[in-house]
Amino acid sequence: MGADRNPYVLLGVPFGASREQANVAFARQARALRRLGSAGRDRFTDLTWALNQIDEAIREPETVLWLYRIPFDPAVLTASGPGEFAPPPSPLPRRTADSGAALADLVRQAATEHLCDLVLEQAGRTPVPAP
Amino acid sequence: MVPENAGPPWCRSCGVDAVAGAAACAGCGQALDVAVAGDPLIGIVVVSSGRFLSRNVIVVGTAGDAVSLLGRGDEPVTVSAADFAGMRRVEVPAPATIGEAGRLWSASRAEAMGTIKGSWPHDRLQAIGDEFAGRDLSRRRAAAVDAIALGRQVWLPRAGLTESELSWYQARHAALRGDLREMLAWLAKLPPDGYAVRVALLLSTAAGLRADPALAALATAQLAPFEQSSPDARALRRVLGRTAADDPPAAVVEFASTLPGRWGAAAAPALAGAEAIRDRRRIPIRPRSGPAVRALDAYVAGLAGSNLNDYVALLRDLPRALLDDLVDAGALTAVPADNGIFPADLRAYLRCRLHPGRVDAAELTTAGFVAESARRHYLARDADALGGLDPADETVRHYRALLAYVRDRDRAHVDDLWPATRALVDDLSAATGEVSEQLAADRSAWPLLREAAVAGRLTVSRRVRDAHPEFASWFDVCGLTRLVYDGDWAGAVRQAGALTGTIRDWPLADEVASLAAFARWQLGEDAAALATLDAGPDAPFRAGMVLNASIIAAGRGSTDALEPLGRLSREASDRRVGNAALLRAIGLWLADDAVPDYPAPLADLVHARLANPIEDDALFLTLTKFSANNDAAWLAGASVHFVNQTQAEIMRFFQTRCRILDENRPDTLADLGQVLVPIWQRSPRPEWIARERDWLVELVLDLVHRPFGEAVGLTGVIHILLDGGVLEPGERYILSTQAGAHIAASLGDGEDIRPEAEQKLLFDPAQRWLRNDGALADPLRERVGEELARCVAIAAVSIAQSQTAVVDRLSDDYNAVVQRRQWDHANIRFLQHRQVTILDELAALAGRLGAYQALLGRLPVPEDLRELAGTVGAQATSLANEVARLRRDVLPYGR
Ligand SMILES: [Zn+2]
Repeated sequence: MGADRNPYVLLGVPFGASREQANVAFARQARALRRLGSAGRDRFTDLTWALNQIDEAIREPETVLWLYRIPFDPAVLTASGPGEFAPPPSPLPRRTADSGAALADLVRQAATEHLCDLVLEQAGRTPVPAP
Repeated sequence: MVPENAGPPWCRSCGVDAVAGAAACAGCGQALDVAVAGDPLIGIVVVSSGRFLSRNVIVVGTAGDAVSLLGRGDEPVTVSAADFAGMRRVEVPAPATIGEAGRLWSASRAEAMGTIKGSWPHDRLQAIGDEFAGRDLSRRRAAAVDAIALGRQVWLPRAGLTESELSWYQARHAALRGDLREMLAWLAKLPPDGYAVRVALLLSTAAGLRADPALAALATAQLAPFEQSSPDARALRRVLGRTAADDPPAAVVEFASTLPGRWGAAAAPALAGAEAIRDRRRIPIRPRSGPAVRALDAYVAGLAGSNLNDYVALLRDLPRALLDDLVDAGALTAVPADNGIFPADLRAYLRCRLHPGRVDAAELTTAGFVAESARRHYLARDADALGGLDPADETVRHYRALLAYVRDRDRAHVDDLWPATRALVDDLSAATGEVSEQLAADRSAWPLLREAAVAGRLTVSRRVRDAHPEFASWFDVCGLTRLVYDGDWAGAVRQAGALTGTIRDWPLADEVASLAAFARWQLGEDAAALATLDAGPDAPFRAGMVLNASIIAAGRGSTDALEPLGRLSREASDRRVGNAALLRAIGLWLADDAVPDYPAPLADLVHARLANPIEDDALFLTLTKFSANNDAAWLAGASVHFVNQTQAEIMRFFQTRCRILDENRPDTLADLGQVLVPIWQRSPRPEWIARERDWLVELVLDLVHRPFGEAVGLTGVIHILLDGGVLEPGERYILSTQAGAHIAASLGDGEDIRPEAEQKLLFDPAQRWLRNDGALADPLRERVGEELARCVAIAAVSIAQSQTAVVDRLSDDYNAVVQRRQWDHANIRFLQHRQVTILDELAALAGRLGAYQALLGRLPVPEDLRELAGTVGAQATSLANEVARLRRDVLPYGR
């Protein structure tokens, strides 16, 4: 890949992968190379360089503009919909018991208010009685 | 006038109700006669017009066609009804009264108070009034009421009425006056179960009674005996006593049922409202309906399907259980965070019940909604925060176990997982490599499969593929990624071609294109790769695609990369990416030898960026400095946005730097010096200013080295740099003595350098150099000394030259004075003084030249100037000798 060597692609990890992910990928690939013997030496050098890049050279992957991004967007790696591992919010269950007593209370209050309303209106219509 | 006496008859004497048509009370035997108005003419006051004067007279009797009028004298006079009709009536100001006696007493009282004039004898009119009052029971009753109204209590014993009857009239009178306390005191004197008329009296004053709990309590007690018989008494008692022990819904219906006979059509909604409250139906709201009535109506409407989001003010006092009913019924679907109706805890509770995803952390805490907090901490992969929640909560344990699995594939706590989740985790952990139907169906599980899918460790059956085509697409993109990782470029291009068209969802469709483009790029097919990315100016902006395009384009030269990088700079939602793109565009151009001129599109990007706030001072400096170096004409006049003092300073400096290069602007090097010095003196000193200082000083050093006398214009900036402490020791020596030499060399005949400038620019530096304070190491000190000596020599020669004309003028003056002394003996003293003055001036000049001579004698004057410098010494010596000789001539005349 020459001048455009991409450490993430070399290690086979997503762009912006953490050091830990890179280390795991490096270890797995290095194990496979060891079986190839000297034939795998160049490839091993590449992998070492790639690990070093991710470890040291790349501080803030989001602002790196000289590396081709695979995947092109982090959204490719995240859940594309809700499910058991990305649960949507569920509403708080009701904490009050049956509302019957509260409703009866409210009806009583309303009735008392209405009675007061009517009595006061009737009072306004009532003159002082004749002697 | 007499109030209408409606309703069934009752006995005024003892207060019991009577049978309709009866003449006397069955209880006490007293007649049931009621107060009467009597003869309406009695008590009318009219104006009687006499021969000489008119007077007010009063009607005291009528008989047939005759009217008796009491005026002056004890006996009334009689006039015909026709004459009486022609007399003007006089209004008597007095409280309302009922009978004849009341009217006569009113007139008498008004006359005594002076509110009308009366011609009648006072005592006689009173006597007539008393006589009317006592005529019969009806008149006595009317008179008793009138006596109370008029304050004529003294008459009451003569009324012959029972104590209770008088108390009733008193109570009534107190009510008319608005004195409810007294009204109640009089009512208390009545037999408790008699005088049912008091219910109407208390009702007429209900508003006032209700306003005062003490009065309301007294009134409530008064009403008790009538509760069985009178609906009004029952209703009024409930309103005043607030006795809620009974059944208010039934009570209001009962009372409302009495209204149709009294209110007519207006009673219908009142009754309907009462029934609706009882039956829990929609209520016709009246203007005075209270909050509970309105809340109940809203509640009923909500349960019936109305949305109450815009009417929450009506629900302010609703108990939580009823609000829960409304939430469950879908009547309340949103409570905004800034809702000011509900108290904070209730608002948080409702918001958690309605839209838990939009509730903030503080509200979750207020509502104690641990499950949602746990979910959020899980999604944020925040194990610490999850650890801080109550482990007794099964939701908390579930998310802790899930996070441990998702992050580290830790299965230690899988028993805490909810069953459905647990089943998927078991599927994920199964080592068969075959993806289960449940995993394929759950999109949130796919990221957990990705690594294995990319590595090729999974298989998907035909059945699962067919049932879940979207999962199949996702799985195929993982396979394509594997080809790229393996470096199988041709295979990747082929596979991408097969997938293109079958995958349309974002982001997978773009990912297929991005992977294909990468493979083509590796194959050297740059143009095809760029076309595959479809991230050109006309395509919709996707940051990652444009970024990848910029990387391929950069290989083709800085110009190709400019378009995608420019788009990133303008459109990336992450400001850091936008800034990085701009810096990369600049870096690519600077490194690209094939493009020597500053590209206009790049300039546009820089201009656009500087026109908007830049938080990062380092980026601001980079762009400003870059523009100053490559785009000076623009920066000189640009209007740039800066967000702090540091940036304002940076802009001011570079803008001035650009302006001094523009011939059309008045700004000079001195202006740049003025901007530089305060920045230079700041503590801590900004790093960037050091290079700018070097640039300016080198420029001034460069400009100052031209034929002496031509760089006088630089003395301004040199003074500023010297005074600002900006210069290194070597620079100080060179620039100050150069400035001095240029000033001296530019002097015309007779002109002179200012003494303080001569001292600062020439003598001080020369003497300091000679003292050798150790600030300069030797080879440099030598070189500096040589230039310094050259400058001082040039200055000395130039000053000696320009002062020759002065010497000549002073010599001429001196000779003229000597001539004049020959004949002008009157002014001899003045002339002698003048002679001395001229000689002093010449001596001073000789001294200055002598000082230069002394200095030059010690400085390493360059070979080519030594002879010329010697002339200064000769001039100084001869001038000094001449002055000394002439002084000897002057002295013999004495002082
Ligand atoms: Zn009676």
